[in-house]
Amino acid sequence: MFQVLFNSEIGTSPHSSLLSEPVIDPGEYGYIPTSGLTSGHQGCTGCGMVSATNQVLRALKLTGRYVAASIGTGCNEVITTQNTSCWGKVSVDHNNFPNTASTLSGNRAAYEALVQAGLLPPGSVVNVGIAGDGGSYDIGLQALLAWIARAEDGVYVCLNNEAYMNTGIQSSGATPFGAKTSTTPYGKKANGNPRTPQHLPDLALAAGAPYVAVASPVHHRDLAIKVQKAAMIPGPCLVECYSVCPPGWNTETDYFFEITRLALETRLLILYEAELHRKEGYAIYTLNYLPDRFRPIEEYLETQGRFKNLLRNPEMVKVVQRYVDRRWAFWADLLEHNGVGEKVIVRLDSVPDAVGLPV
Amino acid sequence: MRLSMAGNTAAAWGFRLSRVQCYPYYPITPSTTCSEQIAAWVGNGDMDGVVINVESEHSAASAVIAAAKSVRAATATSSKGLLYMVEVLENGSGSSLPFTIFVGNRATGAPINIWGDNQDAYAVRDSGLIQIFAANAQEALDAVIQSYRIGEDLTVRQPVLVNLRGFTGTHTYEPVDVPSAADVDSFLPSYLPLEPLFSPDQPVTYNAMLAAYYYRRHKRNQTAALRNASCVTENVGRQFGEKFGRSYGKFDWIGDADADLVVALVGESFGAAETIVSHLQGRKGVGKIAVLRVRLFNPFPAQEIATRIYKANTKAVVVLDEGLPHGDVFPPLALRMAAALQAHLGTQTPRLASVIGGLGGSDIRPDHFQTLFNLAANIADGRPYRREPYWLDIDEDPILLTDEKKVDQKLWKRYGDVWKAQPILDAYHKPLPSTNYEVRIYGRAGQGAITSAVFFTGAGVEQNLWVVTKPTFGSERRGAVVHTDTLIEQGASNKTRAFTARQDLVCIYDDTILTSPTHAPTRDLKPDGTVLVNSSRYSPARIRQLLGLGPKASVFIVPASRIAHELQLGSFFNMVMLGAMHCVCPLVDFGAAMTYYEKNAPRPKEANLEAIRRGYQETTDKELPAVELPAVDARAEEYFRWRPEEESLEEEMLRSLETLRG
Ligand SMILES: Cc1ncc(C[n+]2csc(CCOP(=O)(O)OP(=O)(O)O)c2C)c(N)n1
Ligand code: SF4
Ligand SMILES: [Mg+2]
Repeated sequence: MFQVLFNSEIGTSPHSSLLSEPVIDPGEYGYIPTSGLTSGHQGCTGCGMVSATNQVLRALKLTGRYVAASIGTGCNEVITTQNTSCWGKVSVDHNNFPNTASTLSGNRAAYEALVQAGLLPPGSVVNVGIAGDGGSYDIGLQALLAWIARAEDGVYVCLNNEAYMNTGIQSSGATPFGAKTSTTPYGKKANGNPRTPQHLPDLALAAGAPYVAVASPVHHRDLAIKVQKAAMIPGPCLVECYSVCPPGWNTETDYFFEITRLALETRLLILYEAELHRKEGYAIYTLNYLPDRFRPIEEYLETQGRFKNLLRNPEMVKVVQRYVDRRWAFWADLLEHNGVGEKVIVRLDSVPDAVGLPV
Repeated sequence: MRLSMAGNTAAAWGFRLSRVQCYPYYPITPSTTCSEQIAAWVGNGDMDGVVINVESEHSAASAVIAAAKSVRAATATSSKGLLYMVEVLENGSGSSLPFTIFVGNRATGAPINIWGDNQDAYAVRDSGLIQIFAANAQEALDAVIQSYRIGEDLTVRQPVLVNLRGFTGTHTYEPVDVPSAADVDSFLPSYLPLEPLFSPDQPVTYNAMLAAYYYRRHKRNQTAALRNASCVTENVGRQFGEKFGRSYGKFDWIGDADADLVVALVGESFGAAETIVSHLQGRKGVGKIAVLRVRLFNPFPAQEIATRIYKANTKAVVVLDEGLPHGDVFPPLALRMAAALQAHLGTQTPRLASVIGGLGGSDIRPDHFQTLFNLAANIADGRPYRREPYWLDIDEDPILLTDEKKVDQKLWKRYGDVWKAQPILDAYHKPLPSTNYEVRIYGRAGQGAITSAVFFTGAGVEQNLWVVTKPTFGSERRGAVVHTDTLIEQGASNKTRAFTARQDLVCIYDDTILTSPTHAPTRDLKPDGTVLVNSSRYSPARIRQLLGLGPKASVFIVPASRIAHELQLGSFFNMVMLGAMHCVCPLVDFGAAMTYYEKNAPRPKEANLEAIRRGYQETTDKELPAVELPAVDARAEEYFRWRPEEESLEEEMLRSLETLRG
């Protein structure tokens, strides 16, 4: 379909080969005083997506455009709009659960019509869609892929907390293998979530999105740059945010940072971006963060109650490790081509051979 | 076997006992826990069958319809989820496929609202499904079992919706008699697909394209099949009664046999209406009254209802709809009632008024029915009344006038005369005596307040008491203040579900709620009621002062958080509070309850049982020895007070952008 063009950079850069100008670099601590959500949201203490949404809004405002957000049903929408709005000077269009991307389409078309009529200046608005993993991987996937297929301009942010949290922790297409949710229980005949998660940025890139990225609210600068790139690059761009959820993951509320760090160091979470040069038929992948040493996946799993049962079953842990290693194999090749591979990649002894379990 | 369970679990039991073989599902509040329960049973091997974790309701409905060609199938949904199924639903009715969908009825939005009303069920009344409205958890369980007998009847072969109001029905814990599997098996034979898909000897084609001639004939047959469901529902309901001791019909008529005044409704509000009928019936100054509760909403038993009303010689009918007319003359139930009466009784039709209430989780309380019967009495009396729907609980547009000044002035021009001609009849408003013991628990979401109330209910039900727990749900996240109500029936057992909202006991799980002006937790405490607080810093005397309690009220404290901490339960102190509740509420025997908890307590079991025991022992109305509280960092306090809107960040942002752009 397309080739991967290797990129020698590791780390986040405000430059993109799809943009003539770099986007604003908010600096190491992401400190540029823009406003995100206003106070009064009803999110849980330690909620990752509140922080993510906050930073996404702040980053979008750095583009200097007016922000119109289309938000999908889910925690994010419920905790920021109940009998009020916590969106400050951003217009918010909550349509429904399956149709965040179609709502983006309608808004973009209306905006273009107003530009044609001479009522709004071109390039003055950024249309952003924000939805959860359920709203993106499952019920909203059709709308999302069709929006990408139509190559419309806009940004789609998936706040991935790896389950349907708003309705009380049911499994979604993004739920990790073996996680306990209220629809993937442990019992005599069930071992938690039986499937390994899909990966939305891959699907979006394959569908033709010019820019996809994975970010985390703990890495402010990285996130802000990615969101701005997504806003500035013409076409349908997607940013997925890793969103810690204390009740859904069964953790204490102050583990946000540690969990993210372990996710990165076990390579379960890979911060990267990919730009698609569609006509030329290649994509440029950039790894933004390379851990000094790789930790075994158990260290991540141990931080969360949802994996308690999984951890009792070493065969299942191996499945998770294998999933992580397979995904990393892509990056290992890429790093090797860049001449950094051998130096940093420490193969872990714990990496198992294939054991006939479903992946 | 009598167990305490919520409506969703009862529906799940219905599916389990009906030996449902295929259950695709997609979560949506408030019906999700039905599907979660089924997933848990299948995962544990307690229920045979295949569950599918689909990616949308459209797929759930599609999978149910596909499976119903071969096996007994089901799913559960609500609100937008049901609406998302609409495109496929008619493939079930049009292809003569029996299956059942349990609906936890909920508002449909926009604006988004997760609480109960009937708009979702109303919205699919043109999809050709049989619709039964259950009034409580027991009825939901029973209706699910009956739904397969009805839908699979050879003269019917149509899908069924079993409706139960969201939260007040789906999440209220109440005693439910669960029939034995063997009894259900002898009542409900296994599924017989008429045109099985997997039939190499006789391949079938479903949903072929039919042009007008065949199409209209097919639809005529489909319509007739749906009509047949009416008498089949009656028969099945009667046979169910013969077998299980609880019989059902197409509708219920509760009150005077020859009632002049009738209030008609569907669903869970029936409980509150029934309570008022038995409270008012036969009182001086009160006419002959009855509640007509429609159980079979689709196909609508028009002729039977008209006949019943004709026999009673009813003068006025007031119809309560938990849904909207959307531009029609009346909302759906009132519309059907009016059409049924007009079509069958012609000039003998009684007067009929329509009332909209209960939208988006609005309460339907017993006192609302006092107003509705008062309205009916006025109408029967020949007084003028509105021909368009009335609304419940709209301050500026009341049904009966209490204060002219509060009324919307534009409305006054239009309805002033009607209002003035509608007196408030005191006899109808005699307050419902609070004869039951009511408990309210205030806690913060995540503290397990509901769990402890559910345990308390379970223990009570096991002791053969009538205990009902109605949690109040918001879309709160961890930390928000939530409350839950529990009722213990005293004296005669009427199996009531109606709360008077006047409490004998208020339990406060978090002493920061004591001072919250928005919650005023003891506002509805009876003067001689009891307050129980989890606190190690306030004395009972101080709490009495903080809450402004009268001298007859008793105040108890228990240092539940501290006890939980000592037992290494972390922040899970709800089992301590459970023990403390037993200490102050003697109606549920503690010794017997302990045996129940020994079987059911959550893990870590021993620590939690000890927590219950210590809560029971260490509850006191005396002051506790003082404890030192950790000092709060002044900088942290300042940080928590900060609000983003307080600084004009927008301006600051623009300034810094300018600097950046150079
Ligand atoms: C058509 C439809 N089906 C189901 C729902 C119920 N629903 C609302 S939010 C939600 C889950 C949201 O999950 P996700 O998108 O992952 O967001 P999160 O709450 O986890 O942030 C569900 C199932 C709905 N609103 N509409
Ligand atoms: S449930 Fe999870 S995603 Fe939802 S508000 Fe709480 S922490 Fe955030
Ligand atoms: Mg989610």
